[in-house]
Amino acid sequence: MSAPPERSRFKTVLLVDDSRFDNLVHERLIIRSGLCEHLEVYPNGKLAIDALADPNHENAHQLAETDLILLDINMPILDGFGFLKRFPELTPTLTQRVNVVILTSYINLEDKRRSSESPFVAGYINKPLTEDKLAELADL
Amino acid sequence: MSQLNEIERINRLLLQLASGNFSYREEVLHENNHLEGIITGINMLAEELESSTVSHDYLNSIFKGVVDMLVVLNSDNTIRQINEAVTKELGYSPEDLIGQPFVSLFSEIDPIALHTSNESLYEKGVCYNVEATFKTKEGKSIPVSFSSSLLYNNDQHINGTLYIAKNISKLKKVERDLKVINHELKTFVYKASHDLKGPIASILGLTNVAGLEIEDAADGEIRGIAKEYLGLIQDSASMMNSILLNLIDITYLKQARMKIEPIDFEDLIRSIYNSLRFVKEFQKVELRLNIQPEIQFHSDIKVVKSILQNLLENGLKYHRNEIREPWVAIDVQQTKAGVFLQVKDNGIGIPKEVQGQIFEMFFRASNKSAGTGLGLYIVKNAVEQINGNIQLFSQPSGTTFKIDLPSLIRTEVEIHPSA
Repeated sequence: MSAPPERSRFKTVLLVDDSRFDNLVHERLIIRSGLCEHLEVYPNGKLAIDALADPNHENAHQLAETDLILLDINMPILDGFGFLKRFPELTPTLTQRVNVVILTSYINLEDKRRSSESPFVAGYINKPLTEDKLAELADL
Repeated sequence: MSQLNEIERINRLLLQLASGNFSYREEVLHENNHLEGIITGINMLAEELESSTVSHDYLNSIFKGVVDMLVVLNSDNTIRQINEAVTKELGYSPEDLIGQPFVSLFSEIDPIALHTSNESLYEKGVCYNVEATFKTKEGKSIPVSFSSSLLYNNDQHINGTLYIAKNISKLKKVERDLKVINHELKTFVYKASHDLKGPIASILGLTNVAGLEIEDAADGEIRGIAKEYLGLIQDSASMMNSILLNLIDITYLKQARMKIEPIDFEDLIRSIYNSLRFVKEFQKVELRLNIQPEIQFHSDIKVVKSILQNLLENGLKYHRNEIREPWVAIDVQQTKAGVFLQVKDNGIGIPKEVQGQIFEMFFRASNKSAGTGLGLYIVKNAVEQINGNIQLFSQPSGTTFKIDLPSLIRTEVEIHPSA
């Protein structure tokens, strides 16, 4: 296994996706690549928002340093659009440092248009995530 | 023969006629006198009465016998006569309607339909199959299709209009049901292909990561076997992925609305090529672009992209291995109506005997590489969708597609489902 780079590109990365298969793939790839120092996985938008907003969360310190969120669109309870809508409820210190990248299996023009209305969306990636696509993320 | 006798005969004849017996005739004796002449005259009148009375009954029986609704209007568009079908379908008695304005029969008046029908009626004397909604006596709406023609009197003056209307409720219901089913089918294909994309992306991701981790962890022999099978799973899942992407393209093509915008061919073709050139076997094929500068062209970019994407991919895929310099050349030229596109290669060509079938759904002309059999079907549908025309020229030395596309007006274009 190649050694992770001296300094990771990101402090904390959040994976927000309900597919446990995709979460496994993305987690392994991100850890292998050394893209970040800390990684958290949430199965829907609501749990991610709740965690980010909770000052007493056990990983509150790392969560406050979140700088990349990989966001799926289709999720139960609170989907990607719902997450983007509620995202500005978080503290500006947090929202200003975070890049949101939509990571979904197929993005149509309508979904792209809807999600681009959020100023926090920095890009789109079609699943599956690969090492090449991760390299592009590191260039954000 | 006495005069009295002739008077008696005249009297008898008139009595018969007065009692409605129009077939009665008095024999005319060939005597040259005025009274016999009167008998001849009355006989002729009886003849006339008989023939016109018969045709009146005849017309009435036709009028009654027509199963569709018949409405005769006076020249001021009030109702002169209705047949029994009107009573049966709409519940009005003749007394309810006669003398009423024709428009009182309608529940909703579509001014454009009425105007077009009147225009055709007064221009050509007839008008066919206009859809409208009639109102029953109880106030219920009934969809009808009516045809009309002008009626003329003996002096060739218009003295009314004849309307024949058919109740099309059942037809309308079938039409509505079909639309719903059609919509459901489209939605089903769209939903199914989208929903299947997720699990396939997962499989692709999992096999990819599995490959990486086996590389790190397993020893030689197992690593080789595992990687071989993972590669096959990956190929199979990629194939399924391509089919789904094709199906998603097709559902886009079959949908009713397009977005018309200016198209920059240089940009479009470069971006398509960039998405294809990571495929290893495509890299040895040279792309030759000849795009006329400053082309003015409006169309749906997704549809045009489908055409170029599939043709370019085919050109790159079906190159000849034995050739030293395989290439695909794309020419784009401005024409009066829009653009002329030519996609030409020096590849394996399409055998003459299958050239008639290559645009069919799921038809595959080659075993060389696994295609979905949807590419050229998409191309043909896409070309038709934006009112273009495509021609194929193919020999064992290569294939040329020539496409004419008209520039479309920059508004949303409604496409008829039958097109």
